[in-house]
Amino acid sequence: MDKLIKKLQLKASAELDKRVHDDISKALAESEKKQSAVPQPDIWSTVMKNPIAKLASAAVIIIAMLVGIHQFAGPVYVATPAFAKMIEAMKKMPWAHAFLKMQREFHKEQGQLWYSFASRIEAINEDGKLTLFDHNKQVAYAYDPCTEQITIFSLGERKFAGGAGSPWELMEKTVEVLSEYNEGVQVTRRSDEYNGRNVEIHKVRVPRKVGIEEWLFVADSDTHLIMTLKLRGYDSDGNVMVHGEMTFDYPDDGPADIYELGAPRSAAVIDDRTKPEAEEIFNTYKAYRRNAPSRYIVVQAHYTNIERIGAVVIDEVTRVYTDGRLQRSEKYQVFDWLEYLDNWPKYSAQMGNTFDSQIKWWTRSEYSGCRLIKLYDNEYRYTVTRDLKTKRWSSKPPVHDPERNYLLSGLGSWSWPLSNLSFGVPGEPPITVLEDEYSKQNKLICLQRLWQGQVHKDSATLPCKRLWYLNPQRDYICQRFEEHYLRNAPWQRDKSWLEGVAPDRVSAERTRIREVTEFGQTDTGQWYAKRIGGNNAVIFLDTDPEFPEGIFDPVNLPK
Amino acid sequence: MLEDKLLIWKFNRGNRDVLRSIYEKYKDDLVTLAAALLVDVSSAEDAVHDVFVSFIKSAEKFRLTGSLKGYLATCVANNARNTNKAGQRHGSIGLDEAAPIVSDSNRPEFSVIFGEELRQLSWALAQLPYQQREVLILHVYSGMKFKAIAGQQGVSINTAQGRYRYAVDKLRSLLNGEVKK
Repeated sequence: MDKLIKKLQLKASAELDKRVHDDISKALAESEKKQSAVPQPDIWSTVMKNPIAKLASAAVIIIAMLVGIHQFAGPVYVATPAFAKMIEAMKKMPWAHAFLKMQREFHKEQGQLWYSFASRIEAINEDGKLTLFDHNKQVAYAYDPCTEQITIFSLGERKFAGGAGSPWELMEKTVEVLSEYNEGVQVTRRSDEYNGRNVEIHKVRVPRKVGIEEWLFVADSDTHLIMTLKLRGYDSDGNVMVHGEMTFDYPDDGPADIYELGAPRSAAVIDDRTKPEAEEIFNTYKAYRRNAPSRYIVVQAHYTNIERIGAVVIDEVTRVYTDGRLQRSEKYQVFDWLEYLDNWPKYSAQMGNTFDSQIKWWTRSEYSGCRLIKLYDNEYRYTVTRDLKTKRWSSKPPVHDPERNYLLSGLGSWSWPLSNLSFGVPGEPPITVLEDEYSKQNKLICLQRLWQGQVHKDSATLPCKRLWYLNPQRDYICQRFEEHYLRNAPWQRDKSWLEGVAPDRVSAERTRIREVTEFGQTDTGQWYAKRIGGNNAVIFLDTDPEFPEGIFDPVNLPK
Repeated sequence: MLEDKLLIWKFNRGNRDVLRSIYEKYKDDLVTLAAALLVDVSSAEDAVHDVFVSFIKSAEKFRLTGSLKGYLATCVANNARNTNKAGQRHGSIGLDEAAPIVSDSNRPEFSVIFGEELRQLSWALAQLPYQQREVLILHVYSGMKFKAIAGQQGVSINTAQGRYRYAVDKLRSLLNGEVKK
């Protein structure tokens, strides 16, 4: 019994992923805004603690910060061009290299980065883990000292410097935030000597809620280039709470590749790049997906093979109404599942052999009924459920969710299912174009992605192959989808990956195939999957629906 | 476990981006746990979402100690229990709401839930009283000790163990007629 329960394994949906990640992004954005509001230690903290992507933009943040301080310290510094000279000088350098170290309480952290807007290369060394992003070539290299492997992957939609075309774009954004918190800032300047060079030291004191922060910008008097950036954060008693330092140098050249960054030549190289032709196909596919019908009714019947009675039965029917951002979904089930199975021949005869007659039975029969309704009215999500025995409805509190877009959640997942393929993420396998017999015979484009098998703490996931056969004659609809989990997959690099793994921890081999068996076309010429056959579901789509009156009004939900 | 300690350390040090790693690491287990408790995938996903929303909101206020997986499992179980109580006030939540309204074919392992054997298990689990189901799932699936479960349910260890035994016996009798071993 225990083993059976441990076999339960669901995968979080792409929709849940999006919801949670969106919420985290919002929280991070708010957090970063606060950090900018109490500027330097928190920016340093963000730079030093966050993953490599954050570290990569450290130089940009620093430059932006400099300009930000320059701006909000306006009355003092506008009169003196020294600060502006420093920034202009830095912008002209082909490469900036920075060594960062940070101490906060008892923790020390450090990292190095190379950065250049001119060459559009970002390079990071974070405790020996090396990453080089070459935005000109749209490719990235990651060296992991643990595995001694270099992985090459496509940058995809990753943007250089977070999408900023120049440091100024980032500066402007930073200035907006900093300018809200400029009260009490003091800026002073003095000339001095530092490491045998004549320097100008700019000191910025920023009051915080508790204590004060002190920034020192040490710039070469002749070149106007920043040499060092130092930070001290003091509490209200004058104790140093944060200590950070960023040392700049400006080499003529930076690392042109991962080897120059420090990866050994002996490292194994894994090319996980998505080929340009695959990326082009995927982009075309996405364009059609965005143009999908937005007004439809989809009815879906789920089938299950019940071995005890030796029959494949419909065990559930769902119906989804979508009108733009409005959506209502209804789930139908039989009231007494065991009785339904025991008397399957009778019910089967009542349902008939056609999809339409079966759907009619499920939605109008005395033996089955709507068990769950979910409604989204463009602002709130509503859920009502019905008890099997008492047939009484109950409702959950509405959830405020104004940004949700259900547009494709019904239709798109069937016709254009590749919703969350990602590029530019280390570890994600590449997409390749495959020409096999099926694609040739049916004039389809086949995209393939191969996942390696992985051993987790309590389980092992078999290597997975997914094939998407897109039909270019039908708006790139995915006409056939195959998913194969295989124990002895030929694409598994490490053939001994299951050694030492108990058999009951390994998920079972399985295959899923789904195919569009009939296409439809809207009045405006958009193709859609009208019927889909597969191992467990058949759907019917109506893209010219007449919605029942008030179907999207929460007032009309059963009570 | 070492990875968890690193995640907790980063989290406590103010690294909010680590929430993504935490979510990615435990999302499937948590959805499965919630689905097993609520017997409803869509409600399960709502529960996991709610837990992470609370987690995000409270991130600045508290420090994680102990087991990360245990903490998240407890949060999900608490959320599921509240959901179940809310449902009970108006009549129990349905039994077979174990599939999403709209399937997404891009979930590699989602088809497992449609497997006959586990579908029957899902059905049988739904027949158990909630408290018995909770003990069974938390103990077997999440590996929680009876002492911790008893603490959550506000009962003695003996009661929790008794609920577990009742749950196993009832589940076995329910499945004997349905699941082909």
